[in-house]
Amino acid sequence: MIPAILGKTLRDRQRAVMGFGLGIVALSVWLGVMFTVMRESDDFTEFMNNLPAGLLSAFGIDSATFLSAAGFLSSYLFTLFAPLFVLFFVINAAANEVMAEERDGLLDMLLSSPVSRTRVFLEKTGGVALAALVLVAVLTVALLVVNPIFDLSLSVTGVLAAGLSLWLLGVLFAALTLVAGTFTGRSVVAGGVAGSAAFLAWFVSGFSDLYAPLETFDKASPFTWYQEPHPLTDGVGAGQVWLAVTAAGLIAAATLMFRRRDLSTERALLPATRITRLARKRKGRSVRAAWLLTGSFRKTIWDRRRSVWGWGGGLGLLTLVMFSVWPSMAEDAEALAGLITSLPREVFAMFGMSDPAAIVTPAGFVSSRTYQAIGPILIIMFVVRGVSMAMVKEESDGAFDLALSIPASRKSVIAGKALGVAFSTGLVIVIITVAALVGNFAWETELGAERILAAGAGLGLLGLFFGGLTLAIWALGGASFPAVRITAVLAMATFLLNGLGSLSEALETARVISPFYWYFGDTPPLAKGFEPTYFLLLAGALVMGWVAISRFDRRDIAT
Amino acid sequence: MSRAIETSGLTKYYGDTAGIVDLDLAVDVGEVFGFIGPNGAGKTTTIRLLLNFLKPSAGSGSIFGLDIEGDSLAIRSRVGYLPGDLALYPSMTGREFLLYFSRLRGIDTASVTLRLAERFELDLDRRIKEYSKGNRQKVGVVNAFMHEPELLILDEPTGGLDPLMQQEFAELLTEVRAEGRTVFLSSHYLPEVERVADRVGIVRQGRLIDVDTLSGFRSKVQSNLTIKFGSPVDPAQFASIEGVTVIDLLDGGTLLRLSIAGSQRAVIGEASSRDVITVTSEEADLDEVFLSYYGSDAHTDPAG
Repeated sequence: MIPAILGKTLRDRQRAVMGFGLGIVALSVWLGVMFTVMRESDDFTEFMNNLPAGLLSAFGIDSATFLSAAGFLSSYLFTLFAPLFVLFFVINAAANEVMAEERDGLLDMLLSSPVSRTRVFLEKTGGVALAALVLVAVLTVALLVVNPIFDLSLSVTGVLAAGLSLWLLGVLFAALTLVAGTFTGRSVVAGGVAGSAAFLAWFVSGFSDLYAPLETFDKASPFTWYQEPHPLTDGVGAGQVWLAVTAAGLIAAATLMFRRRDLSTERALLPATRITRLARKRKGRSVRAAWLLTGSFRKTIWDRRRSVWGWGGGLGLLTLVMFSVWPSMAEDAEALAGLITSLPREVFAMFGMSDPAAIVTPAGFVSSRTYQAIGPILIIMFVVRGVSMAMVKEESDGAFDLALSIPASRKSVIAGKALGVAFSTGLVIVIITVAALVGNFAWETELGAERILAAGAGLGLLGLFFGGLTLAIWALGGASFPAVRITAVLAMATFLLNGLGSLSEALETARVISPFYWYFGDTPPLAKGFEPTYFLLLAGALVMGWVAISRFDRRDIAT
Repeated sequence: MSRAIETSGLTKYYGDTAGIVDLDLAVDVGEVFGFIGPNGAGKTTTIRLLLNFLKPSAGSGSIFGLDIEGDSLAIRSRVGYLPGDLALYPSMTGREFLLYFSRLRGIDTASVTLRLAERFELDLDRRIKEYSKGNRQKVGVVNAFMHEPELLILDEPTGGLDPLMQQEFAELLTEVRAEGRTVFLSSHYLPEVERVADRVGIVRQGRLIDVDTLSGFRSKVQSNLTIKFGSPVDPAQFASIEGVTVIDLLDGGTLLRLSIAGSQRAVIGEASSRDVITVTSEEADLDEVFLSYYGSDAHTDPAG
C-alpha cells in the first residue's frame, strides 16, 4: 500500500502533472516536426558544416551535433524547454507541499497525528520527486514514440539517460526549494531562492563559452552536470552522479532542519537577537511605505512591490546581458547572417521571429530575447499573475467580501486594483528601459532612445492587453472559472499564430488578430518607433478592462 | 492521582517577545481543565509546545509521563487536537479528510466518525471549501474525537458552532470526562469553559496567574451587600472584619453598603446581632472575576 502522505502528495500533483505533461509532449512532437523540416534543407546542412563553433553556443547550439536529431533535441528541448517545465513544476510542488501547508497551518494538523516529522517530510519530498518522475517519464515515452515516426534515430538508452538526468536536475532543485523553505519557513522565499538559483545556474552554464569570467563557475553549475556531456548522446556519466549526490545531501540537510525547527513561525532557525533585529527592521520598513496603504490602487502596488523588483531586476539583467554579448556577436556577423538565411524560417517563427535576417542587427539581437521571446512571456506572466493575485484569488479566498464592505463603489475598488496592476507593470517596464538605455550607451549600439522607449511601451501594452483579457474572463466567468489558464492558452496560441502566420498563406489573414502581430509583426520592436498598432493593444486593454468592470459591478461575489 | 499534563518552567520566547513564561501546570487524568486568557496571552503557544510544534526556550513538560519533546510520537497517538485556527484541505470532502487522518493514525475510525458526524449533523460528502465555517469546525471536532483519545487538546473548540451544537459539544465533553478521559480546553470565551470545566487556569501576558476550581473562583468573588437597619450603626465594627470594605453609610447611619471579598458569613453574623430590616446581596458573577484577572491595567505584573 502507498504510504498515506506520499499518496496524498501525488494526488495533489495529479492535475499539474497532466497539464505540464501535455505541454511537454506537444512540444516534443513540434520539435520533431521542426527537425524533419530542417533536415530537408540542403543549404542549411552545408552551411552548418562551415560555421564557427563558438558563435552558435549563444543559441545553445553545438555545431558538431546540431545536425543530428539528438543534437537538435538536446539544444532545444533538453537545455531550454524541458528544464523550464520540470523546474517550474518541482519548485512549485515543493513549495506548496511543505511551506505553503506550514503557512496555512496544515502541518500543525498533520503533525498532531502520530507521525514523525521525518516521515512527513520524506514522504512529501518523495511524492514531489515521484510526480516529477511521472512527468519526465511522459516526456521520455513521447520521445520514444516520436522517434520511429519522424525517423530521428535516437538511441533508446540515450533517451532514458536524458530523462534520468532531467529528473535528477528536477529533484535537486526541489531539494534546494526545501532547504530554503525549511530555513526561512516561507514558501515565497523558497520558490524565489530556488528559481533564482536555477536561472543563475542555467545562465552560467549556457553563457560560459561566450563569457570568459563565467568559466570559473561553470563546473559548479548543476546545469553543467546535467548536460555536459549531454546524456542523450553520451549516456550517463559523472555529472548525473553529482546531481544525485547533491540532491541527496540537500534533502538530508532540509530534513535535519525540519526536524528541529519551530513550525509556522518565521525565521525559526535564526538566533533570537537576530530575529529581534529583523523584526525592528520590518517595522521601520512598513512605516516608510505606509503611504501606499490608502485605497485599492495603492494597496495593489504595495502588494506587488517586491515582484516589481524581482521581475524588473531579472528582465533588466537579461537586457544588459544581451547588449554586452552583442559586440562578440558582431565580429561574426557575416557568418551569423549566413546561418540565418540557411536556417528554416519555421525555427525562428517558433521563437517569435518572423524576419530572421533582423537578428544580425543589434536591434534584432537584443529584441530577440528582451522584446520578442522571453520578455513578452515574462511580462504577460507578471501582469496576469498580478490580476490573479489582486482579484481572482482575493475573490476565491473571500478577501473581496471585506474589500467591498467599505463604503466605496465596486467599480472604484476594481478600477483601483486594475490600475494598480497596470502601474506596477509600468514600473517593471521602466526598469527594463533604463537597463536598455544603459546598455545602449555602454556598448555603443546606437539604437536611439526613442526606439528603446517605444519598444518598452509596446511591451508594456502587450502585457496590459493580456491582463485585460484575464480580467474580462474573470469578471464574466466568476471566481471558479479558470481565467488564468485560458489566458495562458490564448497567449500561446496567438504567439504561434503570429510566428507561423508569416510562413503560411492560410494563416496570413488570421495573423492580424494576434496581439503579437500588433506588437512586433515582422520587425523587431527596437528597429522601429512607436507603431499605430500599439494603440490597438491599448484600446483592447481598455475595452476589456471596461467590460470587466461594468460586468463585475452586476454579478454575485463568490466565496 | 496521576498527571495527564505536567510542565515545569516551560518557556517560549519569540525573539524578545514572550510567548509563555515559566509555566508550571498540572492537569490530572480525568479532569476537564479550562485554560483561559485574553487573545495573545500564550494559550496557543502552550498548546503548540505540548505538541512539539515549537521547541521550548527553557523548561520541560510531560504528557502521561512522556517527555513532550522526546516522546512526542507516543504522545500524539494518545491525543486528539483541535486547533484554534483550523486548517483543512479545501479540495477534499469531509469523508476523505477524515479517512486520510485516520490512515495516518493507522486505525479504523469509521464507526466513531459516522456516529459523530450524525450527532453533529455533518454532511461528510461535500468538499471542505463548500462547507460553512460551522461545518468546517465540525470536521475539526470529529477529527479530534474520532480515535477516542485519552487526552483532548482543544483550542477554542466551539468557534463557529451554533448554540445547539455548542450544547451538543458540551455534552460530548461531559461524556468524555465520565469515561475518565482528560480534556485540556483553551479559550478566551468564559461560558465555553464554565459549562464543563472542573478547574480553570488563567493566563495573561505569557504567565499563569491563578489556578483554581470554579467554586474556588466563586468564593473569591467580590460581592456587594446592602443592609438596612432599624437604627443607626457604627460602620467601624464592620470595617474591622477581614475582607470587608465599607462603601458608604446613608439614611442617617441606617443604610450600610459593604464590599466583601469571599465569605459573607462574618458580616451576616455581625449584622444579625443588630436590628436588621433587609439584606440585599449583589453577587458579582464569574465573568467579572475573570475580567478583573484579564486586567484593566495591562502594565501591572500579572504574577503579583
